[in-house]
Amino acid sequence: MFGGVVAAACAALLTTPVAWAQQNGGIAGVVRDTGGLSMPGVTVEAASPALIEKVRSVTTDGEGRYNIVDLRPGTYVVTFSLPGFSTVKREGIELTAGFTAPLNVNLTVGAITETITVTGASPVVDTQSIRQQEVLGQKMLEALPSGSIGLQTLAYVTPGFASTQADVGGSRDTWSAQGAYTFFHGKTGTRASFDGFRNQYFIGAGNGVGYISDQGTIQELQLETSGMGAESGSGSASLNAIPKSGGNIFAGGIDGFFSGKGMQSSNIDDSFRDFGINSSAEVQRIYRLGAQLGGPILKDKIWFFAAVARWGSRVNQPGAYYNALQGKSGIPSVPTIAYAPDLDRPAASFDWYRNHSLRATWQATEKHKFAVFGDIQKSCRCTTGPFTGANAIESERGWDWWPSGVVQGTWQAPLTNKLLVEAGASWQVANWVNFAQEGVSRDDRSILETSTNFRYGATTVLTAPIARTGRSAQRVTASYVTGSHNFKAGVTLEQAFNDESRTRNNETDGLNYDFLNGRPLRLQYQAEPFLQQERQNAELGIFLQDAWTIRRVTLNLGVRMDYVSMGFPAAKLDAGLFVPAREVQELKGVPEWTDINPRFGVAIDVFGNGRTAVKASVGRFNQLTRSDLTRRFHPFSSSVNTAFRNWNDVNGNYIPDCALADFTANGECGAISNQNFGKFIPSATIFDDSVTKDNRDFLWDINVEVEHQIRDGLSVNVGYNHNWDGSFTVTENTLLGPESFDEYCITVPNDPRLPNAGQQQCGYYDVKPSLFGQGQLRVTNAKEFGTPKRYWDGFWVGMNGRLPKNITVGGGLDIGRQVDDHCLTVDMPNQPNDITGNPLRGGSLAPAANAYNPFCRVVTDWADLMDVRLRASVPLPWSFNASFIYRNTPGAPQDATLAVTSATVRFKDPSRTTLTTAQTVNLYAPNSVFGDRFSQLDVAVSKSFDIGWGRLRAALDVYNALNSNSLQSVISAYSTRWLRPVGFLDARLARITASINF
Amino acid sequence: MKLVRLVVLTAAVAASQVSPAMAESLLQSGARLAQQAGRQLPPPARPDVRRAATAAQEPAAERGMSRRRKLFFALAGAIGFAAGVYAIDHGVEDNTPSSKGTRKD
Repeated sequence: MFGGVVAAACAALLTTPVAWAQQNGGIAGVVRDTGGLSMPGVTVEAASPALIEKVRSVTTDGEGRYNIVDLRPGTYVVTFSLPGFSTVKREGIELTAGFTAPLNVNLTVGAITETITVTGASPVVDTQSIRQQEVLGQKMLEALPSGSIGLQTLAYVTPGFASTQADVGGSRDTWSAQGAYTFFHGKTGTRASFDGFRNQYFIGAGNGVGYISDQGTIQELQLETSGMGAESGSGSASLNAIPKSGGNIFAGGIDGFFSGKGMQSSNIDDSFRDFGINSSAEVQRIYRLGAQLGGPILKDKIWFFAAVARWGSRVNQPGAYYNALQGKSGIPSVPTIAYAPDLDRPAASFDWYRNHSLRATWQATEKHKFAVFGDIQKSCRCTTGPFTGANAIESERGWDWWPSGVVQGTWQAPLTNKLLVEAGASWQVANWVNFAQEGVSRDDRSILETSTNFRYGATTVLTAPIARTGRSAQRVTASYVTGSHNFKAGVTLEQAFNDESRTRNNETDGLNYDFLNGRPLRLQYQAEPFLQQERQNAELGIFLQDAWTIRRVTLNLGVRMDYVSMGFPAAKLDAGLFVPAREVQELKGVPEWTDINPRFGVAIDVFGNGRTAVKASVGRFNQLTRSDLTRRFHPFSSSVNTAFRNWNDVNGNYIPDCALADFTANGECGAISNQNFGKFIPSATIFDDSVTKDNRDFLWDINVEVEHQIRDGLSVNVGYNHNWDGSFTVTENTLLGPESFDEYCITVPNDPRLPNAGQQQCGYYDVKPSLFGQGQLRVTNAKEFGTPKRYWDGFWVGMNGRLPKNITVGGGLDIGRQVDDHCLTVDMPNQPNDITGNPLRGGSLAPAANAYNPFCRVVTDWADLMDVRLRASVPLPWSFNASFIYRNTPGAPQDATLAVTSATVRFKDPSRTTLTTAQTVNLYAPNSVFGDRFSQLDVAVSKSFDIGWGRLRAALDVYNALNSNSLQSVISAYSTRWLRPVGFLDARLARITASINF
Repeated sequence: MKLVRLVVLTAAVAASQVSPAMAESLLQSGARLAQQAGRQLPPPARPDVRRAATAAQEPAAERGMSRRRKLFFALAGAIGFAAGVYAIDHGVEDNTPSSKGTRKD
C-alpha cells in the first residue's frame, strides 16, 4: 500500500543528471584570434538545461586557455565573448561523465553583439585526461537490450570485463547481476558506486553491491578501467551509476517490461542430454513496473525527482526439482538422508525488489547548491547462489532485505570562477537476514554427496538471526582551475561495519554430513553460537593532483596518502555444545596501514586539433578495502571454527554413534581434524606485524594508449596494460615444515580427456599422521618464504562514437595473459595457502578451494583471455530503432579434481599407507584448460509513438538471439558427472518493454 | 514457434498506427480517444527520423495541451501505476521472515 500511495504522487521521468565532480565532465581549450595569437580575458560560458544554475562562466588566462570543470552530463552551448570581437557560440557539445571535451575557437574582430553560431559534431577524444573509461548515457541505456540496467550493462559492453554468470533478459537475480564481478585485467575486485559513493557491502571481499539501484533513477553509467588519478583510492575497475535529478519543467513516465512462459526457446542439444540435462532454464516471469516524476518545486531553485519500482524474476532451473524425499527418512534427528527429484515440482531461482527513492536539489544561493537523495528498499533474494540447480533447492537460503537503503547529500559551491568547493556524505545500510527454503525443517542437515559434489537437505549455514552491514562516507574537495592548471585537493573518509551471526540449519548439534555414495563419510562441525563483527573505523584518503597543460601536453600529477584502520567491538558469546563461552575486548588498529601512492600520467594532443591523443600513465594503488582485512584478526574468526571427523556408520542407522563432544576417536567417529576445534584460543592464530602494521596489498598499473578521431563523432583507440600485485599474505603452521609432509602419488583416471591418463602422478602431500591437527598458525607476509607473483599483460583495440543519422557504435577486442606464480614453500612444498585457506594466488580465477595442487605456476594464455564486445544502436525510418550487444568471451574453465582416499593413493614412503583424511587433488593445473568460447547476442527493436501528450516507446528485446548454449561453468570433480554443465546460457528469450514519457 | 508468433505479433503492433482491436494497446487506445476528443489529431506519421528524435526529446510540459488534460493523464497514469504496484505486492510470493514477523534480530 505504501508503494501505491507513493506511486500516486509519481508518474514521470526527468532526465537531468546530477553527479559528483569526480565523475563530471568539462570543457577546455584555447581561444585565439584569426592570426593565431592567444587571447586572454575572453569570457567563456557553458550553458545547459542540465545545470540548475543555468550557466557556468570562466575567463581565458594569459595563454588564452580556459578550463570549465564539474559540468554535469548533458548537451551544452558554449559562448566566447570579448569586447571588440564577434561572439562565437558553439552548440551541441555533448558531455558524458568524466569526459573533458577539447574545444578551441578563433575570434574575429567585430561587434560583440554580432554572434557567429558554429555547429558540428561534438568532440569524442579527451586530450587531457589519462583515464580510460566507458560511459553509457541515457539514450544508449534506453536503446540497448539490457536485462537489468545497471552495472551489469557496463560489464557487458566493456571488453576485458569478466562477469560471473551471464544474464538473459533479467533471468539472473539482480543482486548478483549488479555486483558480483570478478576482475578486469586480473585486478582484484571491482569498485561499485552510486553517485560517486562506494556502494558495496562491507562483507568478505566486499564485492557485493550494497544498495540495489532502481534503473529508473539512473541517468548515466560510467566505468573507469585504468589510468585513475589521485582522487581514486583503488586501482580496481570502478563502476558508477549517476542518478537523475529534477529540472525546471515537470516531466515523468511509467515504464515496465515483461517476459514469461511461452516467450522462450530451448537450447538443449545432445551434448546436454548426454549429461541428463533435458531442459534449459525456463523463465516463469521477469517483470518490472516503475514510475518516475520530477520537476521544479521552485523554478531555478528547488528541483525534485521521485521514483518507485517493483521488479523481479522467477526462473525454473534446468534439472532442478524439489526433493521428493525431504523429511521422509523416518529418523527424527536426520529427517532427510537422500535426494530424489520430485518431477512435479520444478525448482526456481526467485527474487524481487521494491524501491522508493526521492531526490531534491536546492540552489540555495547563486554559489551554493545542495542535493539530498534517499531510497528505502525491501527485497528478497529468495534463492541465494544464484540458484542454478547444481545443488538441491533445499540447500539454498534466502536473503531477507529489510530495512535497507541509502541516504546521500552533497554541497557544491563555485565560490569564484576559479575556485570550486564540494562536500558530500553518504550512509548506506543493508539487513540481509537468511532464511531456509520451503520444506526444510530445523532438524534438517546439509548433506554433501562427495562422489558428485551434490548438496541437499539444507543450506550449509544461515547468516541469521543477525545479518547487517553498512557503510558511511564523507568527502571534501577543493578545485582551483585556471586555463593551464586544474588543481584539486581533497579528503575522503569512510567507515563501515558488519555484524553477522552464523548458525547451522540443524539447531540441535549443528552438524552437517558428508556422504559417499549415499553412505555416511564425515561429520562437519561448526562452532556455535557464532557472531562475527568487523569495523572499518577509518579509511582516510588525502590527495593532491594537478592537470597541468603546457602547449599540447597535459601532465597529470598526483599523490595520495591512504590510511586505513580497522578492528572489532567488544563481544560475548555463550557456550555451545562444542565450544566454551567466549569474550573479546574491543580492538582497533588491526590492521592499521598507511601508504603513499604516487600517480603520474601524460596526455598529448598530438596535432593540437583535439583529434589525436597519446596517453600514458603509471600509478600505485591499494587494493579495495574489505572486511576480511580485519576479520582474520578477530579471535572468534581466527579460532578454529570448523572441523570434521570421519564417520564409519557401521550399523547403517545414519546416526553417529559416538560421543560427539569427545574429539578423540570413539565409537563410529574418528579423531577431529583439528585439535584446536572446540577451544577458544585467541592466540590460536598469531599475526606478525608484517601484516597488521605494514605491507598492505597493492597494485601497480601501467597503461599506454593512442586515441584518434577518424571522422566526426567516431574514435578508435589502441592500448597496452601491464599490472601486477604485491604484498601477499600467507598462513603457516609454526610446527610444520616441508619435512612434516609425505609425498604421495595418484593414478590418473584412465580417461583420454585427461593428460597422463592411466599414469601415476606425484607431487601431492599429506601431513604426517603424528602431526595431524597439531601446531599453531602464523600469518605473515609471503616475502619471508619467497616471491609470489600475479601479473597481467594485455592489449586492446576499441572504437566509440556517433556516426551520421544518430548511429551509435562501440566495442573492441581485449586480449591478455595472466601469470599466477606461487612456487614457494610455506609448510607444504609449493602449495602455500592464503589467509582464507585457499591456494595462494593474486587474481580471482580461484582454483577449487582446498584442492591439493602441485601446479604452482598457472599461466592463462592470450587465446584463453581474448574478449570481444560490440554494440550499436541504429535509428530506422518510421521512428523505429534497432540495437544490439554482442559478447564473445573466454570459455568456461574445465578443471579436474579428484577425491582420493587411502585406497587410491600410493605414498613414496612405502611404510605409509593411509591418508590422514580423504582429500581432493587437482589432476592438472587449474585455469589452464577452457571450453568453447562463450557467445551471446542480444538485440532490441523499438518504436516510438508521438501520442500528443507524450511519447510512447514499445520495444521487443530478444536476448541470446542466436540461441547459444555457451557454458559458464562445469562440474570439475572427476566422476561420471565431470564436465557436466552447471551454468550455461539461458535459451533465447523475448521480452516486451514499454514506457510512456510525458 | 511460440517465439516466432510473438515476434510477428509484436512487430505488427509496433508497426501499426491504425487501430485494429487486436493490435492496439490500452494506452494507445486511450491516447487516441483523448486526441479525438480534443480534436487534436496528429498529422499522419512520416518516415522522418530527425522529427521523431526531436519529438522524443521535447518535454511534454512544453507541448500545447490544456492543464486539465495534463492533469487527467497524470492522474490516470498514477492510478494505473498504483494498481499495478498493489497487484505485484500482493501477487508475488513473500516468504521473508520480516513480512511474516518471524525475524529475531
